[in-house]
Amino acid sequence: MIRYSIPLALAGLILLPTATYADEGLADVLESAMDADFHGSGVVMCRWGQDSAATTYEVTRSDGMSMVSGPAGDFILSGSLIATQSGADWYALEVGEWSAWNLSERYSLGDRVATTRLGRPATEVIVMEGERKRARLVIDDESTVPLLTEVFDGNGDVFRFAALVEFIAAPVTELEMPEGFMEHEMLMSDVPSPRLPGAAFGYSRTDTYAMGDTGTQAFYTDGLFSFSVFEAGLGTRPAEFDSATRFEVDGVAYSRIVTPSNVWVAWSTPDRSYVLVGDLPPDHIEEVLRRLPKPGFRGVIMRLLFRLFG
Amino acid sequence: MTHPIDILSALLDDELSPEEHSTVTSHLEGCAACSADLAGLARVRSWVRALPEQEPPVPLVPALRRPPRWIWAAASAAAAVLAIGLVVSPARPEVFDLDTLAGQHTARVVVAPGISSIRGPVGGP
Repeated sequence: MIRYSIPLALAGLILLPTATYADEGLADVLESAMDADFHGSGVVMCRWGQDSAATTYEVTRSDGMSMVSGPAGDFILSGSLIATQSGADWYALEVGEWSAWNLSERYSLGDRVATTRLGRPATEVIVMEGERKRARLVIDDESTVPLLTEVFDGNGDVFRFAALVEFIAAPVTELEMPEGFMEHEMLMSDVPSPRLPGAAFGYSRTDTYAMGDTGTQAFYTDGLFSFSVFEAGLGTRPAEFDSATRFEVDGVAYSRIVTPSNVWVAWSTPDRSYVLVGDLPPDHIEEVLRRLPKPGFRGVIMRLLFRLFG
Repeated sequence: MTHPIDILSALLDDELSPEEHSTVTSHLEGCAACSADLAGLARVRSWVRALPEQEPPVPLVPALRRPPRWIWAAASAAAAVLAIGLVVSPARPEVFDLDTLAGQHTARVVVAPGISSIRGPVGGP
């Protein structure tokens, strides 16, 4: 009897930390991570070809509120409201309406391995996309906060790396919303763009928001990654793309900017300008672009005429 | 000296150099044929100068200098369309601002689970 006790006890010690996620799927893991309270500081890096970007950030989450300090300044999140400070004033965007969240069936949880991270018991979770390893998460067992996330591109190389380097599971900081702020509410558009598909490479267009008089924001998600496509009249492409990296998909040219958290892609059709921003990996971006309106004729005269006549 | 027929007109117009002038006048003094040609040339020139000035027929100048009518018609139509377009075309949309787009996207990202929202949105373009 003793002969079997020692191996069983060792097995139990090894399996114990993974028990938290033993009965959970990826959707449960993601939802648990959304609700966890913690304070930490970390680093985010992103690389696509020769383009790369990195930054540090600090995040505190408590009682459903979060404060994130990064390269774009400070954000306070509370429910569906995100507030940012500019000078002495606070501005807030509130998502007035959004569709239910669904996780694509193409993802599944692979092997889970007990490990430690920042000196804490943790579980390594592999997210599989079919037979391909798409992401690796190291999740703190106590708080369910991801201490490390890696996203892999189509070649299996790391596309984005995010890791907390400092972590406190039970922050004492009390977060408060600023007393006054200018607020803009994002509302669904009554007339979604007919040019943008309802789904693209497993991403569903869940919401479309109006922007100004003629622009729209179409939000796509597969539950793990997400992106927005902004569509407006010709000539609305941001100037930052003038010096952006050019790349081709099926022989047609796009411009891209890589930032730590997102990749930006811009292109124009004969009568519209488009900007895509999202956290999806490059191979997904290329597949998505194949399903969106394609860059068209860029002749100067045509652009001039369309600029004149809309 | 050969007969200076080709420069008699220049003599009448006083366009010869002193040397040429001297040579030609010396030749004329001994050459009746050239003197006769010079007199005839002077006479014709005086007749031409005495003719009344007349305007050429009106259609002649447009036919020589103006492009075909269809070009004028096309150019006029294009100008008219351009002018109408400038007047009635919708206002040019504002250029996308990357910070605004980042805010719009981030705001939507944070309301649902995803690999970015679970680690805290860093935001910013």
